[in-house]
Amino acid sequence: MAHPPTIFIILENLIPIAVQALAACSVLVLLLAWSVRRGLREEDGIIPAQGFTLRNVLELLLEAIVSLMRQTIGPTWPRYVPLVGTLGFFILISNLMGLIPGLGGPTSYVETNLSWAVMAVAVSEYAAFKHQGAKAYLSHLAGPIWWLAPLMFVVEVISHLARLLSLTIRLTGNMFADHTLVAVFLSFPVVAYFVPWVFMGLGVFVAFLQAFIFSFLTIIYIGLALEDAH
Amino acid sequence: MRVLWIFGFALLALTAAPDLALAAEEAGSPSWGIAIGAGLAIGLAGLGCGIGQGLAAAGAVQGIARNPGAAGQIQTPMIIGLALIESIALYGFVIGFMLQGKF
Repeated sequence: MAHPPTIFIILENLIPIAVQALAACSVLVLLLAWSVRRGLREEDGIIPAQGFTLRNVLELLLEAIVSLMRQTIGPTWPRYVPLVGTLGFFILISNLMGLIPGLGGPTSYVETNLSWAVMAVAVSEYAAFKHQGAKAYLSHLAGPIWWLAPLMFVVEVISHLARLLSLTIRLTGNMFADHTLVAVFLSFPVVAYFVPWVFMGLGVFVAFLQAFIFSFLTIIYIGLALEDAH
Repeated sequence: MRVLWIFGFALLALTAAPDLALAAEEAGSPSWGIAIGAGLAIGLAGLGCGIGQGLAAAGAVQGIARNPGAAGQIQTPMIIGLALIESIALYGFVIGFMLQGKF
């Protein structure tokens, strides 16, 4: 898929563009995390900061994620907060980075999204194996009727793989379509002054929404894996 | 009223003439099926997604109309449902995009 040119094509032959974008996004996330951590060190983190600071916004988001996890996953939720929180914040920041003209976020490239989806699905499968036991989980995949078991097993395995593909393509397609749309409308002579504003606004909304959807689906898959102990 | 019809037909003829010339030209390419396939991919995907999201939004709005106090609780699952239905249209878009330069 042909992406619009970004600042990363300068070093394109040395380092692949997706890797450069991922490195740039990691640096941004680390800078944000370091600035929040520095604010936490002052009053030991108990007293909230005043006003509309970055720390308060991030604490709000974290509280929303934790309440959702507590509802869906149950008592073992602290084990999965690092994964879900990291995925959510990283995807949010890289989506927003992808909207800046000249900078591409790593979520526009299918490689990073595939690796994150593999991680999310692998953690949910591992949680299922550890919580229910391998034999119980495999017999759950085979279904209740014994003579349909080969068919059911294949269908269930394919549907678990389809979760991986759907997470990847959903995130990649949304981000790629957004910034390609903005780039296409910027190349027309007259409408380039009016129309890209609308698509930028839509892009910001879709950035937040897709980050939320990815982490929410990860929470749901982990919750599904942990709850079916008949 | 009749002037409107005449104007409409004239506009249609003017805009359709270059399309007919293009169509006569493009049928000569050996993989014209891929071109039609790419257009149909995103077109049908958009059709299904539009109907699905319309039904989801209609259900949500009816729910809010019956119970205006629960608007916040209805709105969150509606947004989630819209994003999940949107992803199906995106699968069609990805296929269309992958086929797009290949003819």
